[in-house]
Amino acid sequence: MQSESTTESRRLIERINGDDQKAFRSLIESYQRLVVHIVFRLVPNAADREDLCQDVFLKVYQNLNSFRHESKLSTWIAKIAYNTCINHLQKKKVPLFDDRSSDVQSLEEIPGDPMLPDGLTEKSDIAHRLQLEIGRMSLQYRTILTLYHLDEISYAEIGKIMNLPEGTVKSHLFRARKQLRNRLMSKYRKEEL
Amino acid sequence: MKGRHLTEEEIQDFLDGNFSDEKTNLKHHLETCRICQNTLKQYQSLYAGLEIDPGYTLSKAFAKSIVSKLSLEHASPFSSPSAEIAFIIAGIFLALGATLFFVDLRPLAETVSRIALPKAALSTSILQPIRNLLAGLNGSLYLLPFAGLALLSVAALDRFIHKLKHHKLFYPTEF
Repeated sequence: MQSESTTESRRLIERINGDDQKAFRSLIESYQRLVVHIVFRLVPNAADREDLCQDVFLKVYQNLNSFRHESKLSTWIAKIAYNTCINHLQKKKVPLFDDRSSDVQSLEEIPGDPMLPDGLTEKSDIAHRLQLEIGRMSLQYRTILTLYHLDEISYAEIGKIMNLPEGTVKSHLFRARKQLRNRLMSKYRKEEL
Repeated sequence: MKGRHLTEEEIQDFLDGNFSDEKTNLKHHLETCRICQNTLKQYQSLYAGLEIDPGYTLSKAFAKSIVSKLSLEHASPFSSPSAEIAFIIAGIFLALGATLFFVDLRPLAETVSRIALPKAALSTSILQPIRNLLAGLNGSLYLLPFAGLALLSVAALDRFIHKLKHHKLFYPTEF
């Protein structure tokens, strides 16, 4: 996650509110990675993901004049992305907080798109298995792991995004990593992990 | 080897940089205990795996497509289906208002009532209020501003409902 200064965010928002489309394009490019991580990790259907990312940025644009800089811009955008995914999954009647380890069988059903690099080494197989196991976790665990490890967002900011107390975020993160370690350990010999 | 083994939570705290300085004896234990070092190594590998970008990608023209979509929205702000319906309703109001203003509908209303109603009904005073209303409306200037006001109200209402439905009700604007 790139560092953002409040002054830069303010200037960018002012330019966007002044109908500067280049500024909005710059905002999209800056926060695209964050939105993509959230949407791709949470939404199982590959066909819906790009449309949802578009929806997120359209909502950002439409609500930008009501952003009051009480939080980081990245936190605000991530919250919109998270809520957009939740609304989408609720509409599709996807269970939100269940662990999917027992009912998900194939790679296609896993949120995200665990791409394997050329040449399947044992190490990349573990990386592949890791993506698979993350996809099988509950929506909350997936979100927290993604925001903390991929986007380097603090417990407090994650709490704001997901509407959870900071302590809950920390304990979910601890449990998620423990669960991942145990699942990977049961698949591979201890030395390989 | 001194002291107890570290819990998994403590090992995670250590890797997250949240290990307090008071736990120096645990740090010392970690340096010397092979069991704890093994668990630490496993978690280090897990952390490294979690930090690898999964390589999710969008189409190259993603940003451009959103910006062009916004340009289209700017060009036709009243292009939603609900706005179209609102304009049709407002158009009917306006047409009705203009007709009542410019055309004397009393002869037409009497012809229609002669065909549609029995003679007994015609002889009574049932139709008199309708005749009076049409006579009052014909040529009355207030009908035109009324029709214009109706047009503006319906359009404003549509915009309000559209805004509530698509933006403000369902999505967060601030924390």
